[in-house]
Amino acid sequence: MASVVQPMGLVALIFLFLNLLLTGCGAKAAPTAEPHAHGTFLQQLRQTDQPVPHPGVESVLAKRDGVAVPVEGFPAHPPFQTIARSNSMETYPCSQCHDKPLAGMLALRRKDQPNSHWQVKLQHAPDNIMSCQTCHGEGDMNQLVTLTGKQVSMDAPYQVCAQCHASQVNDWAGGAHGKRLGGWAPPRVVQTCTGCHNPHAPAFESRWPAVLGKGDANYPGR
Amino acid sequence: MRVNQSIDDLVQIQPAPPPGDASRNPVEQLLGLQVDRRTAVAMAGTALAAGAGLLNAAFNPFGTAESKEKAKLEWAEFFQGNFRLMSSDEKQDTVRRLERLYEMESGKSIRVSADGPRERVLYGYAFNVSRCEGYMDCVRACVQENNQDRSSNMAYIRIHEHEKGEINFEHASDDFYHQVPAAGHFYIGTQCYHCQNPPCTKVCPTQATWMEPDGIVVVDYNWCIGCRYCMAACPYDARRFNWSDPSVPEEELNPNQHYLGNRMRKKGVVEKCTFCIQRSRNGKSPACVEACPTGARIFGNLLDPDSEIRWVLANKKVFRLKEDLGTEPKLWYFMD
Repeated sequence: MASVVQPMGLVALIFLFLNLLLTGCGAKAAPTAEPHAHGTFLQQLRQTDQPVPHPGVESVLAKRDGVAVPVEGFPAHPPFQTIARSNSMETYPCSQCHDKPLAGMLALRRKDQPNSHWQVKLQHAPDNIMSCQTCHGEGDMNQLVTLTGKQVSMDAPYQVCAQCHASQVNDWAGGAHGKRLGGWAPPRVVQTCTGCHNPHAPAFESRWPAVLGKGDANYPGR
Repeated sequence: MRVNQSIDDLVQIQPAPPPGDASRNPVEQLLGLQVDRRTAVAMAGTALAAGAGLLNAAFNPFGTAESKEKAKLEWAEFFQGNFRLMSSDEKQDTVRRLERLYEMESGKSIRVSADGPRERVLYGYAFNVSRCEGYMDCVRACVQENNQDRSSNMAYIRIHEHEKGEINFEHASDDFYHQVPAAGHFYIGTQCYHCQNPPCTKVCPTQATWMEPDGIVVVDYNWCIGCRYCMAACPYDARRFNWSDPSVPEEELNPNQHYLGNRMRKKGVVEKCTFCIQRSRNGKSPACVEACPTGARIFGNLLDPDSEIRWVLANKKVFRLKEDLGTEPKLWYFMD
């Protein structure tokens, strides 16, 4: 057990007391904030607004975080980055198997054998609203598609999600939704939608609260 | 305490200004004092009693080299000044001393930093009540990162489970243990808010706690005398007291430490959240922010108009706890 050095004890306390009595406490009074002197604290913040210099330190992604790619399509926000997906997907590129359009693939399907995407159960929206094709389309499986059939890179799933979840994606672009990676310092890198939400079953699961000692190997610190 | 008590009522206790030149170290201050004969005798007597044991160990000709070194380091630590009055050289000496003392005690090496604040940085925090699911990953990460005492289950963060329909901390539970999120409930985390107008620092009789220029409220554990005035002054129950010698299993000790942060504390001192000063001053987010699996915790520079925290303040309907006290907490809550 690591305990600290404890050399002083009672004698130390007596001495400290005397020391304090004689010297005051030695420390100068710290400048204290006067929050209501010139408007509220927030008003003061806004009044002093100016672009801040680089803080002299940068956010660094951990290896497990993946590779950052620029986010496109949010001109109202300062430039930021998200995490690429295609390089971490087990079976990408999809064209390794999907070498023909979906209709042709379905013809190859054998009823007596398991579906190759057996592990995917779509629990996202009722089937009158979405099916596999809503996001994956029927043509190039390496790309996602929008509702109008426009192709979207697997690295930009937020463009697909934004079609229905506009407010969440807007919050994500601003910083109120989603997870910042690396740290608070620039550059700003945020987790992508599918980094936290399984797109086929996006709800978070119920589980037991964390307990110290369990799963410590997963602790992201150090 | 009365909730509506004015902060001014709480800050009447102001320590006397230090006599003499404050830039001198306390020993010099003590020695250079103009005192009457009676006081001088009392002073010498007490100093003798206090120092005799340490001096004896330091200069005992029969001690080993290591025990002498240890005694000398402890002697130096005993006369250490307030962190805010140290020159940068003295700060470096102080942290090297802590590293060496720990190494001699445990045989393991730690790194204690004395890094100061960064220019034009004021840390702020936002908590998304809609996103917190009560998983408590933040609490675990905080305890591990900050070397909090395991035997007393100390934790800076508390997660309060509220029944939907009201926000009432009197009715909320902060010691739940069941699958989360529980049906019909929501969760709010509390911790030190690093108030811009902190009542806790004003009541400290030894000025062992203060707000740094980057907005982090810190404690010099060597100057804390354990009177716990700060705990009484804090309206948010954000401070913790070491009733016994804190202990952390050797293999779980976080060796990346800061003098004002997660270095090992002693029995009888107050400690608290420091926004993980050892991390945040290096550009990282606090451990709780990094550990949160839902992104409910947001941390950044309030002075940067382009930061996430400023976007939240400008675009979400935020609130703070007990705002009427005028403490100006730098942690805002909001909902989607």
